[in-house]
Amino acid sequence: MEMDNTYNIIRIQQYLRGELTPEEMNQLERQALEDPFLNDAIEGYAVKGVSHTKLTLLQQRLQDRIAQQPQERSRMLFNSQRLGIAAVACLLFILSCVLFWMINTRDAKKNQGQVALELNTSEPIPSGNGLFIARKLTNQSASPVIGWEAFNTYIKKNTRTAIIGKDVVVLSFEVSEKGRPINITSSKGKPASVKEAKILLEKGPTWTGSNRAEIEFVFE
Amino acid sequence: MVFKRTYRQSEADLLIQYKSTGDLNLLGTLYEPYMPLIYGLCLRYLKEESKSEDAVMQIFEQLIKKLRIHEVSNFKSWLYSFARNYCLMELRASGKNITISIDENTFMENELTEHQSFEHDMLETKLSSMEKCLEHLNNEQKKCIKLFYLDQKCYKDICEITGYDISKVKSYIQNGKRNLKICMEKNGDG
Repeated sequence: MEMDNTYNIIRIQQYLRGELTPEEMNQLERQALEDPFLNDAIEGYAVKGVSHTKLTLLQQRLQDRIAQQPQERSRMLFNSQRLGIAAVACLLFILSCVLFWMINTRDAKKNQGQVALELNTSEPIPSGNGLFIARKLTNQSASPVIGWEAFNTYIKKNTRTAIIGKDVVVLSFEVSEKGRPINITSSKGKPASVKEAKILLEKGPTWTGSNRAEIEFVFE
Repeated sequence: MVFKRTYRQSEADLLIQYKSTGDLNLLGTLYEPYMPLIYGLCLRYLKEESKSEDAVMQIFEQLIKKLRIHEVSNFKSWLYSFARNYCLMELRASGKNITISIDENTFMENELTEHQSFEHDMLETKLSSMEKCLEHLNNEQKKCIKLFYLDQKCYKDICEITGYDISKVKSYIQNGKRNLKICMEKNGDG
C-alpha cells in the first residue's frame, strides 16, 4: 500500500497533469482515501502544482540547517559529557605532572651518584688487593712518572710494615726541576711512619705534573 | 513486503538513535522523504508557497526538540498530525477564518491505523456481507462506491458517468465507505 515518498511526488504530478490511466488514477485516489497525509498533499498541489525546483531548494535548506549542527552544539559548553571529559583530562594532567616530577627526582639522584663515582675514579685506586696505599689529596698535586699503580706496587714492596704498624701519613713536598721530591713535610702520622714514608719517597720514582704534591699513605 | 518492513524498521531505529544522540543527520534522514508530502499539506492549508516553505523548515525545527522527548511508534501518522496542527495554528495566528473542511479529515484520521484490517479482512472474507450492506446505502453513495471500488473508475470518470460534481463524488465515496464499514462491523458482531 505505502509507496516510496519520492515515487509519490512524481505520481502526484502525473495524476494532476492527467498523465495516468483511469485505473492508475483510481489506484492513487484509493490510496489517498486511506492516507489523509497523501490526500492533503494532493489537495495542496492541486492548487499550486508540483514544483521540483521549490522541492530541491527545500532539500538544500534542510541540508544547510543540518550543517549548522556543530555550531549549535559548541554553544552548549558545559554539558555533562564535556564536564566528564574535562575532569578526565585534568586527572591525566595531574598524574603526568606527578610522574614527571618522580622521574626527575630519580634522575637527579642518579646524577649525584654518577658525580661521586667520577670523583672516585679520579682517585688513584690501585688494583691488586683493592686497597690503595698512597694517593694524592689534591687535584693540583704532582703524580709519580711511573703512574699511581706502579707507585703503589713500589711502596707495597718496600715498606717495612713491622716498623710502622697501622698508620696514616700525610706528606707535602715540592718537586725539583729534575722531578725529585724536596722539602718534605708531614702533617699527619707517627714519627716512625713519617720517617719510613720519607725514605720511600726519596728512594722512589720522580714526580711530574706540578711543582707541589700532597700525598696520603695508608699503612695497614 | 520485505522492503516495506526493513524500511519501517530502519525508520524506528533512526527515531531511537536520534532520541539518544540528537544527531541532526539522523533527523534529516527521517524527515527528508516526507518533505514533498509536508510541503503539499502546507500548501493546502496555508495557500502561499513562501509561507509553506518556511513552515516545512519550522516543522523540522520543532521536531529537533519534540523527537528527543516523545516516544513515537508510527512516525508517518504522528508527523501528519504534527504538521497539520502546525499549519492550523499558523492560520489561527494569522487571523484567517478556518473554514477548511476539518470534518472531512477527522473521520479519515481514525482510519489511518484501521484501514489495513478493513482492506485485508473485510474485503476478502466478508464479500457477501458487503453485498448486503451496499444495498443499505443511499443511491448516490451506492453508485459511486460501486464505480470506485468494483469497477475501479477514477473520480473524473465517475463524474462523467453520473454527472455529479467532483467534490460531491468525493464525499459520496468517503461517506459511503464509512457507512459501509459501520454496517459491516455491526453484522460482524451480530
